[in-house]
Amino acid sequence: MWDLILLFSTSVLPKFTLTVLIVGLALKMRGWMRPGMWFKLENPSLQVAPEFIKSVIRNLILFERIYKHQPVLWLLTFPFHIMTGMVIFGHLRGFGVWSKDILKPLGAELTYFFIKTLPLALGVLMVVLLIGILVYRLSYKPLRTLSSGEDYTVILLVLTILSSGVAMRLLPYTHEPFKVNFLPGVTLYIEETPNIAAFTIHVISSQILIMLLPFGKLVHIVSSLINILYSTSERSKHGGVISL
Amino acid sequence: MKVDLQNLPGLYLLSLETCVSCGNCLVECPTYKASNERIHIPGARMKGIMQAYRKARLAPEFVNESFGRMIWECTLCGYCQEACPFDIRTNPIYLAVRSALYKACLVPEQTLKLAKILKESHNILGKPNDKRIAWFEFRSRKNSRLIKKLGVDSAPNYCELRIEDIVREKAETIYFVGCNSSFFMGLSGIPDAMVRILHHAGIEFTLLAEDEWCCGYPLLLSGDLEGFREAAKHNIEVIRRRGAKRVVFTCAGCYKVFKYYYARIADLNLDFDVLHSTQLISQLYREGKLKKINGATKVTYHDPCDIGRHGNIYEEPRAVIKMSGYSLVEMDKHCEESACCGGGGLLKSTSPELSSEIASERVAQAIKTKAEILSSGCPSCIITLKEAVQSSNSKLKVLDIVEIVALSHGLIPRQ
Repeated sequence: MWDLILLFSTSVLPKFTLTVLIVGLALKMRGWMRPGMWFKLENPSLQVAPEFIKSVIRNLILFERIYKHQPVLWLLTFPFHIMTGMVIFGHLRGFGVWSKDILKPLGAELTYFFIKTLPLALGVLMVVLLIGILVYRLSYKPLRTLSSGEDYTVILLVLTILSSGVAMRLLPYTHEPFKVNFLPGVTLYIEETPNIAAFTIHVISSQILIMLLPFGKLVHIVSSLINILYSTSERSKHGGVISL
Repeated sequence: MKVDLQNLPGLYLLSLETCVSCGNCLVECPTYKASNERIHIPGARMKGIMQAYRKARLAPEFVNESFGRMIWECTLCGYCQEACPFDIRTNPIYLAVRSALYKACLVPEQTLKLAKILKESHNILGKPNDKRIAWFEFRSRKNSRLIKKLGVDSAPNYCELRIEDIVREKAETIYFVGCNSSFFMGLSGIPDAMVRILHHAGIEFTLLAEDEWCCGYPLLLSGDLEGFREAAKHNIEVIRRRGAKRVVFTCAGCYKVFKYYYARIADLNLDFDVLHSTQLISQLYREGKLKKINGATKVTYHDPCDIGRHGNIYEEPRAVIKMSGYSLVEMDKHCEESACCGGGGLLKSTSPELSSEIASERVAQAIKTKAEILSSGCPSCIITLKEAVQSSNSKLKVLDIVEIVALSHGLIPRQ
């Protein structure tokens, strides 16, 4: 049965996922570009670039404001997002974007550490951090009051992706190369064949997350940059936080 | 009539959708801290507006009581934007939604009444607008009485001003008094101090007297854009007629609308400088037109949201306090982190209890500094904080920054 589900999730579902993502993002962008009937909004100029970069570093990379107001949440979310970046980078090796050969100068032991030990450690840590985020959301009353079903759905979905990813490395696997072609030009090569059930859950849940991206809070991955650009522009042109 | 949120600019939708409900906005939100109600959490407002937007053209019945309270019960202090990791511009979104609700006649009764009064009388109190400088006579009488009682030493540099000294046909500097200071006699010390400072510094200025209309800020906050534009157009016209090169404000709200909203919302070209009193006074000190004074009276300064977080004016008021001979002690929450006094966003008319709860919290912070005077640069803040101090039984004096400047220069009697 798992083979059949795997076949579906690696051949049919990716096309559907990609279509939903592209159409969803296109619709979002169209909505975001509407002028509306409010006041004339000014387009950001190139002069705001330094301020914009500063704001991106301080807010989107370092999570400075989260640190200032909710240090406990910062302790959970800041490393989580950094690790997400590292894990995504690691995945790119499977898709042929980079090869473990670049690690050769570091020696065999360090190469093993970077492609085996570190990813597993990161996966486990991320599961722990995400559970921490969930517990924080549930235990800090004002935040629990604010939270809706969507907030918990996304956390549970990411938790599924992470735990199935970790399971792929922990459950018994065969020492045979594994290759899956998701889409034309998007092929995954792994040195070992993982546990099929864990892999299938990982692939399906990841694609659900990608499909949800334009339609829920995950859209902040794209929109936060644009929002910061406009806010920085308003601040540098007019000063203060509000403007228009 | 249906509420049409479909006209919100796409960028505002983007901002609404960027919210991840991290809760950073609620940590210091004055309304949420005072009420503990979900509807007052800025993040919940974002969600509420988004839901309303998705309902396309809403039926009025959808805009239920809680959605209305969500939108109207907010001081618009802007702290949520300062705390938001994505810098979501909450205030413009609230203003746009308020405007949509206004068009659909879904405005709290008190707010609607205020807007109506304002449009008829051109001031927020509904008084005859030709009484705009009634404060002058009232204050002159009061000053003379006080000086007689306390002696000339209580105001060594006091001088009798005539109406011709403050109202002229033409002048390069215009002092825009604002409704609160013009009509609330309890605040009349503010324009009195300001005109005396300008006179003392040798600035030739004029007031607009009965030609001054409310700046329109309350109309903008009520969502009445047309009314706002009309007020803006009138004020700009009368200022131009007097050949002004700069307009100075003691009211932070009036300053903000002139500086940020007249050009962009009312589409008017401002061919004069817009200055808050603290900006002009610090300039006068720098130019030597006002002498620096030494002293040690402890003053704590409350940053009005309209010039602080919204206008980045933090240094000038502090410099003015120090140069006027006071020792500045900061509250825990100051500058960008300053807490709201509770008087903004028309909250005082929509939810007076919530407003005074917020003010009490701010006054408690001021009392903690052990300062003798709590000062600010906005008559709205002053009146709200004064009321809170009265109910706290504290001996803290609440004075506008121009009043403490005038006091230190001996321009008004020291009581």
